[in-house]
Amino acid sequence: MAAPIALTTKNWCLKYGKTEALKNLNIEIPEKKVTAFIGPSGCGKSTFLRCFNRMNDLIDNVSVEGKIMLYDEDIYDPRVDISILRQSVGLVFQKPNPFPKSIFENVAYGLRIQGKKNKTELQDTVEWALKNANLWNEVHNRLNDNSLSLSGGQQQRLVIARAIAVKPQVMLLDEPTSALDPLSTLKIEELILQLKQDYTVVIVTHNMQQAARVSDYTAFLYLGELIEFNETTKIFSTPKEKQTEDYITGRFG
Amino acid sequence: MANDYFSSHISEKFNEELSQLTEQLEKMGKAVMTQFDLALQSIEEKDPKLAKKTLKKEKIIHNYDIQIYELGYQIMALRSPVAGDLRAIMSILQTTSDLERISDELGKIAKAIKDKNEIPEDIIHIFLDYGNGVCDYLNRTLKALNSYDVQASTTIIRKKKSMNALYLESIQKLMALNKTVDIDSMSSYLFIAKGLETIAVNARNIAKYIIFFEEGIDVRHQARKDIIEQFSQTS
Ligand SMILES: Nc1ncnc2c1ncn2[C@@H]1O[C@H](COP(=O)(O)OP(=O)(O)O)[C@@H](O)[C@H]1O
Ligand SMILES: [Mg+2]
Repeated sequence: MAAPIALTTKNWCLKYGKTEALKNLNIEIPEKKVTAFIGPSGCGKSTFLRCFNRMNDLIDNVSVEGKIMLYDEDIYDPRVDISILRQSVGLVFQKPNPFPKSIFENVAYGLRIQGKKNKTELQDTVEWALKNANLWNEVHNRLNDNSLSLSGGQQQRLVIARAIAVKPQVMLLDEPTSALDPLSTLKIEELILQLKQDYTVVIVTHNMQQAARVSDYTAFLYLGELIEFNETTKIFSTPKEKQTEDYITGRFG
Repeated sequence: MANDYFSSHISEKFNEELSQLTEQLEKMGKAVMTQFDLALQSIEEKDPKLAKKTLKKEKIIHNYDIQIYELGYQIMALRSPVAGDLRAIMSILQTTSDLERISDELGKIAKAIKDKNEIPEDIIHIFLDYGNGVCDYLNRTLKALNSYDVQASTTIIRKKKSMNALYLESIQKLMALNKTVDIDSMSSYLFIAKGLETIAVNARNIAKYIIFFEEGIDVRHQARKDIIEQFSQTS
């Protein structure tokens, strides 16, 4: 693969207690491309995604083995500052989770944590992030309204604006549209295609057509294993593994 | 993959739709073979009525073409097929249009026969020799299609050389008779031979679609020897 690699996992394993959820995963995720994780429920997509910003650290009982590199930084090195890691690797969940604050404060949140206080700088960055999340036109005259007054689709774009305000390198999206109607879904998909101009995007999706539409690379996971990883066009036209073929065409395994 | 492929989808309705497509295609292939037999018979028996019957068969083929096209189009619209399903539908639709063209050629040949009231015996023999060769070639192709047989398809492609040789032979034999045949008649005889050659090309296209469905490799523009190298188990 020609593109530079943003994320690399080496023999990556994760256990919940004694249960192996991820088994020896080796993958290279290209920079500024969209990579989709697909696979049946419970195969470990979300678990894997959460590894890239160490969200699993918050769960008791989790043990990991192997290595994950963000460029040449080992993100599980004990010296890594996790809050900085989570700024450079943003995570967006299935259900939009804006804070019960104003639209402006939601987007400014990460900047304030970074210690930014200059009012015009905050305003400029909030505007920039909202524009990049394709939300500015809908909210510019109501920035002080509570974010919970927005529709689901708008909330999801707000959460994305919040993540990009701190200028991450990687955006992780865990089924970002499964709670949205088809039109809001298309808007998020458009946004994802824009985001990859500046960020590396990894998306978990149940919706195979969505993976086909937005991603450049697709990884098929099954029972905690990486079965196949390739260009999306290859996966959806001529997958190499029978398990992949059966899954994407809807056949019995 | 093919034999149980069209019954293994989780959706029974989808299995039915795919089987319906393949069944229609098989019937269309049989109808084209019937038309081919009629065309050869009309040549052999110098019978304009048989030639007329050959022409009429075109309508049946058109109907299959329309039905298969519509069903394939529906499946594409409603099911968003991927991978093997997508390749199956694409190759079925392409096969359908090649069968349709074969039927057109047979119609044109029949028309040329019908318009000629006197065809010399030695010319009839030339047509029958070549026509039976092409008919057999198409028949083998359709057999390969019914079992999605990559080996048999590769053999069809391998036989391109001998089919071309048959064509050249028929042309040479026709040209050798140019002293006894007037120009108008000669040009319509050459037209018939050319029509048979086109049918052989269409048959070979179908063999290529079978390889595409099974192997996921587009060989439409690959050289004969490259195809043989990749897919033939004997060479
Ligand atoms: N917090 C947890 N504690 C224990 N097991 C978990 C936890 N989260 C997920 N799992 C298990 O790990 C496996 C993978 O889950 P998950 O990553 O959520 O799959 P997916 O996102 O592909 O549906 C499942 O068997 C699930 O039950
Ligand atoms: Mg999940």
